[in-house]
Amino acid sequence: MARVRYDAVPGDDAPEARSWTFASVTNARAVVDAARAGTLDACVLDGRSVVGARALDMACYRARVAIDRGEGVARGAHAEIILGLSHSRNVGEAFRRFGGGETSETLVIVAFEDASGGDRGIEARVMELVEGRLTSFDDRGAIDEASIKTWFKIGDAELALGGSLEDAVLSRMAIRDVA
Amino acid sequence: MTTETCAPTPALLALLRACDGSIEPRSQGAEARVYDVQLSGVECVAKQRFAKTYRLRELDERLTRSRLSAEARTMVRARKLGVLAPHVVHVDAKESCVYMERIRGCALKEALRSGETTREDLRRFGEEIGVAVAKLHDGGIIHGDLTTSNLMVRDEDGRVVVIDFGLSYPSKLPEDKGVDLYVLERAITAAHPSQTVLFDDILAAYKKTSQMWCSTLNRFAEVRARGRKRSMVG
Ligand SMILES: Nc1ncnc2c1ncn2[C@@H]1O[C@H](COP(=O)(O)OP(=O)(O)OP(=O)(O)O)[C@@H](O)[C@H]1O
Ligand SMILES: [Mg+2]
Repeated sequence: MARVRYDAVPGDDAPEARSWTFASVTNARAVVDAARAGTLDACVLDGRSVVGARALDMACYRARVAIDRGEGVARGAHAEIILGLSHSRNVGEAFRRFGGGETSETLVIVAFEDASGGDRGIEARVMELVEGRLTSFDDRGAIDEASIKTWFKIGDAELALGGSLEDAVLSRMAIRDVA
Repeated sequence: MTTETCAPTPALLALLRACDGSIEPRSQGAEARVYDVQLSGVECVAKQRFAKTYRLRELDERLTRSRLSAEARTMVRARKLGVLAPHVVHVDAKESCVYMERIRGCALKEALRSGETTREDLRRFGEEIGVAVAKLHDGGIIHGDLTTSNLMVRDEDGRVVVIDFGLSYPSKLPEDKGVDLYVLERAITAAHPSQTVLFDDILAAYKKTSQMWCSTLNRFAEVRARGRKRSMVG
């Protein structure tokens, strides 16, 4: 189990997020269905479309802030994280791009803790449900760079400046609500 | 100004506390304060705009917010165009705050005044600035406040980074581009009278880079002539 590095959290008592990464997943469909049905209270991401840990971290932070302020636009905190990874406010599109799908082989599962730092039994549920190899987020394997560049409209002129792909993605996520 | 208007807003304050940062701004301007903060483990600055209380409050908040979004969007567009500007990391519209990559370095103004810049450094600065401004202009962005305080020299590689897009706006008009260049020329002649060769290098690089250099530089010459006439009349 890895904790989403959550240095960005506002206030000490705000719930943090935890994440579990699985490679070689064989039952992604069942996992996604469980999240959809609410029997897994977590957000299920396709590991190939999450560009990096900072992006995930900032998505969690923004989801937290939006919910605290009553400004959330998605259904629930975990959907808000998926939306936070996107450059647009189109929830359906965000789910298609960043959410786990039937054919996902790498899944990143993220859940907010409760107020006292407990995981609400999610870890046990995740372990029981997911058929795959538990690994660290950084070992989730290759990301889908080509799609990420297309979705976020990241071109060569920008990458030639020497920043990372993740920096470029973060900037699109950041201006989502003011674009 | 009351202490209340000086205090960082709640989310910013929480972030400053979480990283044990100083809650004193590193820079206090007329419309914005800049704080050092960490976001997701990375060193950033938070630029928070505040309302000028002498204007109508509601109008003011609207203006502040639209300025803020313009600033953040323009920084992202600038990088898309290949112009070195800080990465935007987070925007908090509610608190009028843009979080961006912290550039380690100093203002070009300080670098020029340090007495340590060689002719070779000047040439490189001029080249980089001229290319950056040309790319912005060709991309339809007017910076709006080109001064040697709003250009930074990065420690890691000495490259010039364009900051402070707070007065930027979209335009393709030669007049607007000409004025943008004129503001820069005035800033250099006023603050660095012995280094005005820098501006010659900037213009040369601009001319090489911009597809529309001709109409822009013609208009720039007119703007400059108008400026001279005005300053002679007083
Ligand atoms: N990304 C950054 N990295 C490091 N320092 C920065 C950064 N952005 C701003 N600063 C510092 O803060 C100062 C003020 O920032 P900036 O020029 O953006 O605002 P301002 O001039 O106060 O605002 P405005 O002109 O929009 O009213 C800069 O001169 C610089 O010293
Ligand atoms: Mg400034």
